[in-house]
Amino acid sequence: MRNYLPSILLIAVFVIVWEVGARIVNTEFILPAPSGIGLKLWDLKGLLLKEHLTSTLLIIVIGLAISIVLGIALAITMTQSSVMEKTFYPIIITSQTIPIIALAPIFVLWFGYSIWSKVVVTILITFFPITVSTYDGLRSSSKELKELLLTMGASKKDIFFKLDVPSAIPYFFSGMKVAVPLSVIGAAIGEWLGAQEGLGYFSRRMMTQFDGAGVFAPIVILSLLGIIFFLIVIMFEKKALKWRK
Amino acid sequence: MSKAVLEFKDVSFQYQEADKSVDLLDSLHFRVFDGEFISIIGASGSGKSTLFRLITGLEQPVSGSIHINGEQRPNRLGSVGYMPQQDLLMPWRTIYENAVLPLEIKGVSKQDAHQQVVKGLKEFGLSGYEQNYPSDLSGGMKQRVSFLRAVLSGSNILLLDEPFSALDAMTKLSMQEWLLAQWEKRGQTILFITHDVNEALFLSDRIFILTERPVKQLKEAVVPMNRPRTLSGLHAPEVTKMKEQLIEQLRERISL
Ligand SMILES: Nc1ncnc2c1ncn2[C@@H]1O[C@H](COP(=O)(O)OP(=O)(O)OP(=O)(O)O)[C@@H](O)[C@H]1O
Ligand SMILES: [Mg+2]
Repeated sequence: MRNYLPSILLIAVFVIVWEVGARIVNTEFILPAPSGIGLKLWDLKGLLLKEHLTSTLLIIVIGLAISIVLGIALAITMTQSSVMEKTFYPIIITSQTIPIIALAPIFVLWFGYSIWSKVVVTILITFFPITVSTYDGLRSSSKELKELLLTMGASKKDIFFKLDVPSAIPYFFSGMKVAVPLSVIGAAIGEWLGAQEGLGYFSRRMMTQFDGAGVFAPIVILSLLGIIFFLIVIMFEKKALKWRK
Repeated sequence: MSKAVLEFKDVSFQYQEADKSVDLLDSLHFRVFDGEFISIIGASGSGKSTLFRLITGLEQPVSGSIHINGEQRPNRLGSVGYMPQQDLLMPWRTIYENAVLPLEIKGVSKQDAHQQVVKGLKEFGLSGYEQNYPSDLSGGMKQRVSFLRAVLSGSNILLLDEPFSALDAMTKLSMQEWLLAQWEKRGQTILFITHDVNEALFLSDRIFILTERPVKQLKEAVVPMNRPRTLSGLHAPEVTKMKEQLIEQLRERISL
């Protein structure tokens, strides 16, 4: 805990300055005070947590799950076949120059207000870090170890499962640590554009009602969500990489 | 004399580089007999590791043939135990899991493998470290795990590529004595690459010297020392004389 002390102090100072500033400016609908946001959270906790959080959570979980499956599958395909690699790798890299967020309205057109328009945005935004890191990881395996396995009479399958996969795991987790916060952003953006529930949707609706504290309250929950997901990834990473000291 | 377990018959080999090819072996011929301890010395880049790559089957000769235990097989992978130049343990596997690797690959049943590994770890003084990771171990211990892994390949021929070059002098010495004891007990055939002439003399029956490029013939020295060996044996006059000769031969190669 002591390690985090400076960060915690800085945040405390920031919140206090914000609180004081907000009271001086005194325009609740534009700049709500942290205390006001806290009160709002408390008032709306039932609605926010039960209804809107569940819906956002579902988008994040489904989106991430699909991203992980697709990302790993594509990464493996690319390492196993050079034709696939030559076909997909440049596409994946250049796809990052497409402003995915600007594409989001298209998905609303295609999938309507159903959960899938949001899931697609989440997938597109998280797919890249997962695929590329897993792919790099699979290719990072040591050539010397591969030759050693060969001298033991290892098959291609042995090399894949005993060498390539374990080598890729640290990379995969690095990718996940980037992807998880992005998934929260993806879900929230998806909801701004077309949704009838969800934290992103709620925040935006409060904006149209000039309810500053109402805009911030769901954002606080979204941030916490991102942090919790991140911690979960770190927990799994620690478990999987206990050999790393 | 006992039977040849390893034989090179007119083996030529070259590495293909961008546009030219580098000849390393030119109709090389040699034999290693059952239970021998052979050291291979030669200047850096003279092709010692390449010799091992050919024996393991990682490389194929351009012409000629390599016979292992009297058989000539184009696919030799999996037929000798190989301990590479670095210890090359898998950092994500525990000591137990590292040692069991060759048995896993050979498809030995879990129970059988367990028995062999536990017995091996005990003999190699590694009991109690089964669940540790390589990063917890000292250099000498890692070398022993790596050697155990080569032994567990089950082959009667072991190739050790400069196994002790990264160890400090004291550890090196105790590892050499330990290796000799293991070899005497197990009766396997060992080919041992080293840069250290003393080490070669202390350990081996015969020493192969790589002097030319491409290698047409291995110069060979039979070590004039009885077993069991002692360090003081290295100071016997005929041994010091041989040492001087060996160093002389290596120096010739370098001045080329
Ligand atoms: N894959 C390769 N492709 C091309 N040339 C190679 C390759 N591997 C090794 N060589 C060359 O072959 C020569 C012999 O290499 P080798 O590794 O067998 O030497 P060595 O005797 O083991 O040296 P050291 O004592 O430094 O380990 C060197 O000149 C090296 O540059
Ligand atoms: Mg070498």
